[in-house]
Amino acid sequence: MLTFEKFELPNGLKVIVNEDHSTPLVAMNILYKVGARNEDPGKTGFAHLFEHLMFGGSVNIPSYDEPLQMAGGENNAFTNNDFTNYYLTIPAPNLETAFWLESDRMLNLAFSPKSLDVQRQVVVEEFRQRYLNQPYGDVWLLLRPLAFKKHPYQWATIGKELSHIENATLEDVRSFFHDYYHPANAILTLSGNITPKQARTLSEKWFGPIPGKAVALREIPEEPAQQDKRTLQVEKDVPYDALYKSWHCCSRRDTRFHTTDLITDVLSGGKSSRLFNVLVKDKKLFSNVNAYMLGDLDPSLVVAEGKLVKGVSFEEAEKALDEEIAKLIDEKVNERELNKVRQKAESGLVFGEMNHDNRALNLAYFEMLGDASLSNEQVKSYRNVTAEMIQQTAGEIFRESNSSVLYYSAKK
Amino acid sequence: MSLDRMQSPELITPHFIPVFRASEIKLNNGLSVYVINAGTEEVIKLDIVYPSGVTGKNNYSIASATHQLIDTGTSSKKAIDIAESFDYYGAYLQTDFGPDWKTISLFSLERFFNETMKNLLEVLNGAAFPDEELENWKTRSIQSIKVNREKVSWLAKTTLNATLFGDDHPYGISLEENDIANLDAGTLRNFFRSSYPIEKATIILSGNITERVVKVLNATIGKLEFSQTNTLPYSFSVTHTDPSKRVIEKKDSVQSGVRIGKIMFSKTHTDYPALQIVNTILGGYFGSRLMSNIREDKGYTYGIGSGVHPHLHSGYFFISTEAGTAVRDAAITEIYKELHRLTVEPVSDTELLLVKNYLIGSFQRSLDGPFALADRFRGIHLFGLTYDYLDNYLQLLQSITPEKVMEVANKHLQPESMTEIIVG
Repeated sequence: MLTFEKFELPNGLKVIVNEDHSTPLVAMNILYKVGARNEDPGKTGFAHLFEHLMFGGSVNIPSYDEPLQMAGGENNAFTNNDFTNYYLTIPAPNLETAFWLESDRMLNLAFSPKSLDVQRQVVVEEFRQRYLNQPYGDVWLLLRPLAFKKHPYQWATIGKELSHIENATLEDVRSFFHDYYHPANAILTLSGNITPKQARTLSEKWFGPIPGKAVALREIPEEPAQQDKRTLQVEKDVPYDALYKSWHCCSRRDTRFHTTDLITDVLSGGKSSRLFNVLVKDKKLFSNVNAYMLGDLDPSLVVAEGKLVKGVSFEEAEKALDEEIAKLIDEKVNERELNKVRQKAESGLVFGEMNHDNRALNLAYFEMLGDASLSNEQVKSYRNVTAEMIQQTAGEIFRESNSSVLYYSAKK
Repeated sequence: MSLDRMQSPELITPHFIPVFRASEIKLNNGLSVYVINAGTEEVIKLDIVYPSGVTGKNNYSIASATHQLIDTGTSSKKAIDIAESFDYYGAYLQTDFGPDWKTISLFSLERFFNETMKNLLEVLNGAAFPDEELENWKTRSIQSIKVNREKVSWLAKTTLNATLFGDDHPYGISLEENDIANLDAGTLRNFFRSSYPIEKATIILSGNITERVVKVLNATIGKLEFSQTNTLPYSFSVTHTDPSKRVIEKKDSVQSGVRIGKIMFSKTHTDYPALQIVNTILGGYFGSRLMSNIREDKGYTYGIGSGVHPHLHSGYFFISTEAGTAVRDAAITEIYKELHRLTVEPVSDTELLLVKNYLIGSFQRSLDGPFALADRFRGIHLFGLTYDYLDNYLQLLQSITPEKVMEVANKHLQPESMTEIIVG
């Protein structure tokens, strides 16, 4: 249970505070509602490249990191398809330094050509390290465009191709900042040794003067319902064949989210789950297997993936996977198994609220979904899922015509 | 009054906060348990840390497999039933194996601790290592080794460890297909019987420790009998090797994995805390010299860092990065430049102050929550140290001078003393 206070500045910035004096620190989280889904198809990877540039100095402060570290703070950031998130922790007495730094980079960036040059290279190295130079590293670069034909989820946050990053100009960067980095498109959350009163004073002082702007509404194309099964076979220099099968499912905000999440837990949550025991242990077709949902803002995917045991064919492996999935539609999960996945989801939520960074992120995330108080309704939502709901939702998702399969085969 | 955004808010030097300490309690059978009762969530973590039982290359794979398969069967339960008995209560059993220690950790909601501890006790009393579980595990482990071998960072790391300590030394071993393929379940069962003496384990309990939790502990591991087995004494002597360079070709790699390092010492060495501080300056945080120079100024890599890893009887220092094949040599040149600079040029007062303040904040972060406090305690207690170690470290943070930094760098971080591994 997270208690919090919430207020909004006249410029549209929302501020949420979770007060807890058992720690000497404060965690600060700023979520900007912009991710890869907001990108232009010709300029992909931009939200993420931009995240790097946010550390290249702001209009009044040449370095972001140095003053923060001098104040005993530490920070990082991540970008995904839906949002970009910046977070830090700092000893409470120096909290104002965090307000000073974060408000200045929301006000305006320095837009230094050197920073753009270097960060383009850094991101290119990141692309190589994480996507090109790892076995199976390019799976999402292949699976996304297979599953999505219209919606921007068809590209990964790193971007479609290196050239989009290499060709980014300062002008592109300025206009991106102008569109998405302003108070009404951001959520500021704080957790730890801070009172709501302090938070209000500091927010008004540092963020209050930033001019408000209307949020630019940009239409995001909807993904049309999939009509036929799609498949893609690739051959790569990897030691084992791997199978990736995805199905379109609901969005994070849909009432069926919790049901869908529990479906993937029945399939692969923990070592007592179905796929591991049937496909890995009993039938010995896979050496590992996993199922999960992406849980994005717009409707996205449920994915089942695994590496095949040497000598097993894709047909055999996929057939066995399909059989396990069909059981979700043919038979209701029993009470014990249902309780198991519900309690597992609940304990995951409790363990997830143990540190202050997570609390601040959770509050910001649920506020983005609609209301920070949703963070306290998750347990109830999981408890409300019934065996009938699982059966029905499984039937809606797991249709062959709704699936996209990537056969990632090892070069002989 | 207008706001001067050029002016930073007044800086308050982060202060030292007293570390919340573990207290020792005794169970009915005489076992010591270190308790950290803190935090607001109703959760428990129990760590049971045993000596690894590793005595050399010959039993490393046995010890490692035994530990990873400990929860895959008892005389009355199959692997799936054991897993289900934890999953049902939203609990996690985590096993962790290293050359010095092996750990079983139970994460449980407080209200289910009674049930989850009963399940854990069944495992500790009766792990049975079914043949088919071992065979299945072998297939999976061998496949996972083969996948790891495609990763330049993994290859660079394991090669450096093997080069420094020797590939048959517990600190240098990485398991290979043959070590795994030859295992048999009988050997695992024997090893389990002789190498899990509860009286030699360090037991740490953290979270919301109610009276009920202590009762449960007494009714479970508080009833275990001591095995009285004599585990073999293990003291890994380490022979220092001469610095060397190795290049491992991996064709079609778009990046190279680079790892540069040397044998150092354990946490009990007088220079260990100072070396931690010097390492932070070099490559231990985002603003470090390696990151500032090689990533933020030159853009040669997505990430670079350095670290000091303590073993019980030794330890090592390393620098690690992955860089595009075209800029790799330039990156390595810069690494050596930075090492050299530490030994000849005193760190400026501003940089040292920044690192000190950063480390004080970092220290506070490492105490956030009961599980973090438990890890802190574990990190000193297993090395035979007390909380004095942390006090001394914090004192050193206040008093360390640029001269001391240079002295430590000269003693331990000479560029010529490093072994270098490049993969790709």
